[in-house]
Amino acid sequence: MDEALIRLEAVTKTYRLGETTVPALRGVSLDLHPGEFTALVGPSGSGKSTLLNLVGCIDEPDTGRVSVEGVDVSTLSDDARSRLRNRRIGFIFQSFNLVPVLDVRENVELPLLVHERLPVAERRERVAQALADVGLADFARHPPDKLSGGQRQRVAIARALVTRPILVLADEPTANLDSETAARILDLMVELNERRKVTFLFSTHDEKLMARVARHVHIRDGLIEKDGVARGA
Amino acid sequence: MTGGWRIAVRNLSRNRRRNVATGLAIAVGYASLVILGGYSNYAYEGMGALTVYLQRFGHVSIHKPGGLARAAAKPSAYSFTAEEQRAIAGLLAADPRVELAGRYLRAGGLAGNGCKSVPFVATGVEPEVEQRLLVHPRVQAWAPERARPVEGAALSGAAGEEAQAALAVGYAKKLRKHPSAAEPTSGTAPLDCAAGRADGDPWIQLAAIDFDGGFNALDARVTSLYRAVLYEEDKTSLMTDLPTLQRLLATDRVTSFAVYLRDPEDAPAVARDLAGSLERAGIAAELHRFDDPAASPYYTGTLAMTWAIVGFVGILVVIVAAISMLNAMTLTILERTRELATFRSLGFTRRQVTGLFLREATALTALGIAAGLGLGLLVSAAVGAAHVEIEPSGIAGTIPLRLVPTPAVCVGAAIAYFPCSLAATWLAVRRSVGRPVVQLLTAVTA
Repeated sequence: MDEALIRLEAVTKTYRLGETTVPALRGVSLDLHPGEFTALVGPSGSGKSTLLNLVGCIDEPDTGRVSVEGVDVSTLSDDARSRLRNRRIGFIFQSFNLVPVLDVRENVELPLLVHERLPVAERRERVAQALADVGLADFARHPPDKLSGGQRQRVAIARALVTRPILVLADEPTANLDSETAARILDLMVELNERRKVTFLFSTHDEKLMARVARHVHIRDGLIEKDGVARGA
Repeated sequence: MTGGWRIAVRNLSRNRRRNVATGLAIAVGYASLVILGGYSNYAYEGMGALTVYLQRFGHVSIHKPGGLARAAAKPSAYSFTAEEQRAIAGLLAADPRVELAGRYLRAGGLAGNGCKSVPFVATGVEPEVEQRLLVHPRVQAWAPERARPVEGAALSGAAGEEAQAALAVGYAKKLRKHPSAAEPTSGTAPLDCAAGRADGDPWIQLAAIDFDGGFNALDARVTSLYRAVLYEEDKTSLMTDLPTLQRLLATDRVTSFAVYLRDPEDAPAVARDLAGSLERAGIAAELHRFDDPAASPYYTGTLAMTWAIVGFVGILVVIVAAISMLNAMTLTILERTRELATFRSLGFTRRQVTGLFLREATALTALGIAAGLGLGLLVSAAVGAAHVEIEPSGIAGTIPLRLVPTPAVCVGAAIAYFPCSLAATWLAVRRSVGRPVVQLLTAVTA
């Protein structure tokens, strides 16, 4: 087995809701390897989003350790974590989170704006490639509000891919889409995983989407219940 | 970060009504700063021209020690001899910073109209210096109406002519004299002092204690009326050519020199250098700059009050605009929490996200300032075209209200504006940007 891209070791995380303390993760350990396509499956409140937030370096565990390419994230400054997210991790949000005043091309280009020393020509080439990968080359100048839900999520996928990350995280990426569009988005992610060897970790509670996903990590009540390769995937 | 300005400018198209309202607050505030600045600039330059050129104070004045306060009352004790005058004139002529210098004799006396005598403070001036002063570019730029005689023609001072006097308007009223009165002829009716009529001719009698302690008098023709700068001067002052006043006082002395400089900024250095030169020449003298409160209390006092008012109002205006910006940006941040979380998730640092909002505030402030500049210049031009007259306290008569904003005023107001606007934005942004990314995301999804 390859060296793990991401390693979670005995990670715990609790949230405080008023006077109540809610345990979101209760000692989770998990390795993600290059090229894997992993689905994080579980009901609402099971800890999926918390786990994704920790892997994405936008949250910190109470105890335990999160490592990205062998580096303990807790040792990094906020700026270094930002740089790590920008260069190594792509995000796809449930609500797409596109910037309405920017067109499709500009939205995809967004994470590259903070890439110091990236030549303009290469930036443009990367944007064009990402748009081509998601089949939106002809929509580059469209504003997001003129696109369908599926197209918007494709833009978000292109934006996640444009930095050539080692890992793309997707939190319920199909939750706001109809089932047909959701299936197409999943197909696209699988295709990109196979063609571009992009590592994906996405969360879902839709069992119907599991058929084409290789690795399923089932999570419930803050604990990993099952972690294995799905049959027929 | 590249593309930050593009995002900032595009974001201005969101919430147009709020941004227009904020921009208008900035524009109106900035316009008021331009107008206030234009007024203070006019007050500064106008008062400077009045004090330096039309009160004949010069940028630097030279007096005998104690002469500034007492020479008019006792000129013989505080005056420069002819030899000292030549030495001082030589020093001034050798200094390239000096544009012009005038000798002045100030003394008190009585002027009569045939019916009554009224005390005066006379200033003897050199007509050729006067002619240059009255057409000086700074006078013509800032106080041209005060350089023109109210009636009659300026003192000519031609040798061999009869003695001439120019009376301040208020003083002329007391004497009931004006230059256009008909010359007395054999057919002229005698003065009717009991009826208060003494304006039958343009002649007055000047009388004073001369430098030898005797009483001297002469007849002088009133050739013009002028508006003195200060109200109190207008009631008591008259001018003659220097030889006439010297003849009345039986002297060849003068009580002061006024030094007019090419560049007013040189006044401190010239005063310092002149003091040293005079001391080396053995001439006892005291020097005063035009902005010396002891020498020009009205000028310095008026300017200090003007600056205080302009500063106070300016600060209020900037604070109101900054609060408007703070309010707008606070709402903007609240509305864009999701976007803020997105930017942070995509790898923008806190500073880079703050930079985006600061750019947006900068763009909005710049647009507001551009609109405010147009508005301020328009109002200034309209006030100038309306020929509004004002009567400032202490000034004799009225002066036209003019608003003269300069590039320095406009840039200065903008410099005052931007930091406040950006500080308000930073205050609005810093709390949200400082929150952990996951909290921003949770705030969106909660």
